[in-house]
Amino acid sequence: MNIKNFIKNNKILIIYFVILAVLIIFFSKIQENFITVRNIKNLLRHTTRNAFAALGLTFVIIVGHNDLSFGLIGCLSAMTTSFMIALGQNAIVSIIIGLLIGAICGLLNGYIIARFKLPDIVVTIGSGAIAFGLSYLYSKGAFIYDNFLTSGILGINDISILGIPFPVILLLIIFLVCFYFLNKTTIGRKFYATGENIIAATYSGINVRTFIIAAFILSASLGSLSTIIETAFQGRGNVKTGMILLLPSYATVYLGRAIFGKPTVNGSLIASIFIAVILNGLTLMNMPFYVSNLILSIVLLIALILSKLSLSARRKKLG
Amino acid sequence: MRYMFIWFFVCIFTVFSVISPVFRMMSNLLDILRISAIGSLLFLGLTCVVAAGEIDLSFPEVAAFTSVSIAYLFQRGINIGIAVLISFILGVMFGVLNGGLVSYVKLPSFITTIATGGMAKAIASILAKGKPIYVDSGSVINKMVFGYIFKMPILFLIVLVIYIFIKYIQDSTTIGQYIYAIGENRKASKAAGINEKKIIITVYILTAFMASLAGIFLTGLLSSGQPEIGYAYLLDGLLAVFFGALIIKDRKPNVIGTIIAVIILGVLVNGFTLLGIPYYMAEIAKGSLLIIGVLIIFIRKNNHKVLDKKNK
Amino acid sequence: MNSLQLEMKGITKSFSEEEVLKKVNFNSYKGEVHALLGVNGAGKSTLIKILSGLYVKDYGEIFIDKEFCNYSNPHEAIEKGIATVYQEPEVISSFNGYENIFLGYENIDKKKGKFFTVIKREKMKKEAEKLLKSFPVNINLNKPVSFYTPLEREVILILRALSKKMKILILDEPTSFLTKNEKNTLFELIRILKKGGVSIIYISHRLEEIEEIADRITILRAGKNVATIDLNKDKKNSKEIVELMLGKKLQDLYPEKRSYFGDIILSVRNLSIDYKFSDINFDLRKGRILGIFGLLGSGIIELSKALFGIERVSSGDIIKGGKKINLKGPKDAIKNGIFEIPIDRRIEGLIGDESVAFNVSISNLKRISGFIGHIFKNKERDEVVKMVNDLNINPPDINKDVLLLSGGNQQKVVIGKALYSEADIYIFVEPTVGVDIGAKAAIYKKIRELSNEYGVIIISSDCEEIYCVCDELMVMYKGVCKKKDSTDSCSLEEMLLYACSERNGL
Repeated sequence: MNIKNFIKNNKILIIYFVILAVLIIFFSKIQENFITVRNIKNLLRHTTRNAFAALGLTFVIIVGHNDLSFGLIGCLSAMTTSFMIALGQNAIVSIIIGLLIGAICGLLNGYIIARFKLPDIVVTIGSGAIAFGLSYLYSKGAFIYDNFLTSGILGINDISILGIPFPVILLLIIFLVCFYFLNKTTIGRKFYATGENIIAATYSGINVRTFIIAAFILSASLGSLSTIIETAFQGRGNVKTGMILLLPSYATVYLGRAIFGKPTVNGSLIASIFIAVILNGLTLMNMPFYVSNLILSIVLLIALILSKLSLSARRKKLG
Repeated sequence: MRYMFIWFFVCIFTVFSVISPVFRMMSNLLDILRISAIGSLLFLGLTCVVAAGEIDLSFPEVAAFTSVSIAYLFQRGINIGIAVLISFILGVMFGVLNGGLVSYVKLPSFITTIATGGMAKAIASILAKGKPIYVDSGSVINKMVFGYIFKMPILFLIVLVIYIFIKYIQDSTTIGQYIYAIGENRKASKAAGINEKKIIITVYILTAFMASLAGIFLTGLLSSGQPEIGYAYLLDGLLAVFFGALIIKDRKPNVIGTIIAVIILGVLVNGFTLLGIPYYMAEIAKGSLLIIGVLIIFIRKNNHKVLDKKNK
Repeated sequence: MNSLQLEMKGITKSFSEEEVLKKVNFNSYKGEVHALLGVNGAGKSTLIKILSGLYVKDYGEIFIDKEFCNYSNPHEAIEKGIATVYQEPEVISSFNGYENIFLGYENIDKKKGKFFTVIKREKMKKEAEKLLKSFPVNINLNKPVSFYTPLEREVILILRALSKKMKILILDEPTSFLTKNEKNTLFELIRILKKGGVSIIYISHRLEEIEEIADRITILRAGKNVATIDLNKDKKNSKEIVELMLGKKLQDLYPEKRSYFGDIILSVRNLSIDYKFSDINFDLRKGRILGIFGLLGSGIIELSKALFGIERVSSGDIIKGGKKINLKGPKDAIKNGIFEIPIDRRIEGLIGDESVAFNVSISNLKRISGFIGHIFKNKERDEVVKMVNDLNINPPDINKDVLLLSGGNQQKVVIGKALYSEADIYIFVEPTVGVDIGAKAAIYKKIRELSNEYGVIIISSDCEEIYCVCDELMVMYKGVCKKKDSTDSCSLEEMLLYACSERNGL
């Protein structure tokens, strides 16, 4: 009887796993090298890159807002880190400074939006443009290579613990921390309350402004983490590093929301695996990136419609 | 408030003219008008969508799609006229899709148009295999894009005519009224019998219509179908619409304001380029202006709400 | 002899299990003003919403101009000639006067504006001026409506109705936000409309005004007709009207009052919010439940917001524990031990899609959390279960989504949240709106229990509730306190009179 209940309550989750399994089988039949150690490492790398950014965005969506700037803030942070390295700083200090810049941008975003009640979409388009423009200042837009080999930054990607690459471990740690805070602590409850009913949350004594600002800081910071790790992998600072994060991150968070009924970090995590599998499979099939974008857009649209349908069904039940 | 901006613009214009001899050349100024024309078309629909209280982030990609589609079909030997027609209709279909999803399925406009925009761009890239397709778009389009009548760029005049027509609709027809009505107070509009679903579909179709038109001209202008028009137009579009709203009509998006804002932007960018200021500085300036503009509009709006309460 | 313009026969309507209108009859002649009276919950607004097409009746018949009508939405009602002016005027603030008058019907020549029509502004202006001419009001139709006074906005809506040649005009509390002169202007307007043959249905609680303008009044009580009085033939005074509104029977819901005077726990001195209420003074004692009673436009809602920090006060002080406290938001109020149970539980009180446990504990998560905020689910479960049992919340499943509970149980959850915050002052605003009888009794019992140890304020427009539950009362009318007394020394009729009338005393 317990199994029947489980299936009834988690229909979409089950469907998700089924489709995932189908995809994996499909890709492995079509491409021999899908299930190889090297490709799985690649897969993991893509997953972590998307997952960090999606994790950050998840917080913004939980508090009921939107952020279009996290990718471009990531560009600024990545270039800042690269610039620091080029100046001779060691890897860790450079990374911290890069993340700090990202966090400050997020703070500004959150403050302007929460304090003045401005439309988040327009503000983050503007702030994204500013961040992106600023990232050109370091090198007039050129790649930054200097000192990368000697600074130790490449180690981020090379270090493995028990055979698992460091970024993956970092992702798991951050995910577990986020999961813990969002689901098991008062902080998590206040985040969700702010997003679900900001008026009732205020009347219950929650300082909603704090949580909105915190969400934007997290979104910018985790987006920066994603671009910095990618920079470490590429071995050079590239202004355009974060530009492609927007669509996959939104698709991930909304897919996660469709699966679990509300935005969650676990939803975003497993959705990012799903999307990474699709993207990886398509790359192996030598499909160009724009085909992947098409698939992502379609996934996003389907996730949206699914969420809407389940919301309508629930509203009807309540009358 | 609006006079402040006009004076600011006059100052900048003067500064540029003094510093750069190239700037004040007639050919340069006319060039600005010509380039502004395409942006103006793209942002015309956006103006109406924002006035109705929604947003559309897919219009640059629809333009890209139309542009690529024309080149693609032409390359395959189809007559340029028919290629244009088919591509145009397909571009407008995106407007129907957007409108339907937002008004009937009631999806949030922001994320939906990100998705549909992504689809349009992806299809364009697939057709073009990621690179521009070079074509000669035929004498008619070339004449429209590059030609001059009475010493003014034809393209600009065409766009001006379209703008005058849309302005007429905005001010003197029920569609224009209802767009503003539902943008401002959807509840009161419905109570008065306005069919807001039809209006929303209309504005999204209008946006796609204008974007497709812009796509056609782009193909001519660049002699190619370009899949990567992109993000930059998004920023410019919102900037033009919000600043247009500030300049004229007291904080409501309107077509004349948009076209003036586009020209001002065009002057700024042109001046920056001629003065050797790199492109990314312009980005920073634009982003800052957008945020400042939104701050001004919304802070005043919130003050108005307080005034309203006092009147009670 | 004027002919019958409107006839409503046997109107019956239920919401969920509750019968709100029981075979109500109401009619109106051409050219008369017929006022509809009743206390909170008597059924007036439901009857009007059925007439204007917002609700659909369960049983009954409506005849307009002797013709049987069956409509089910506001547009169809408008087509039949019924127009309504609500307290929140439905105008587009940035449009000017004549644009608002013709909103949706800009095509002046034909009946309804088609989807795409050219607007002939000059013609619209002329038509609007023509409509305005017959009225003694001077409005600049070219200014945006946001600059209009409340009276002017109402006039615009009346003109909108007039332009559609309405037969029946419903005015819902039209003078709530008007000055005395504006009210007089409105009444002149109404008299002109009367001459034009329009039937006017006038809802208000202001008895002097009704005496001034109405031809007939119909009193509803608990969803039934009580009386229909022709004021031209039968001069009833305010006292008699109030008695009819209240009836003689009082329900057995109320717990016994006690006469225990505890310490003063909260003091309010000269509290004012500009344009909303002024100079409010009271002392709240443990053991003495304070009731603040007032009807629409009296300022009680704004006062409730001031006491919880939702709105800033313009002047005056709130004093607790001997110190003046400055409330910048609900968080400050809660920190100072004040918790408010708000009016609209679905919007202001509950977080939908979350469980009962979530909604109760959210006000004081410190109790169930430790270092870095870790929540001890077992502790939460124990404490919420205790609360649920204490308040008799049904079903007692603490994990149930709050939106699935009935109105009464939802309200209990909000009360549970308030109690969980361990405040020492509890403010209840309209605590039993949409709550069934059984839950009402339980809530009143809980409120009485609370008052033994804590300060309790009830702010409500339900006079019976205030009179029967509270020990001290304050009546507000047009932003001012008209009467402050203990409920022993005052009668229910007096209370209602103060809330409806300029006069002081019977």
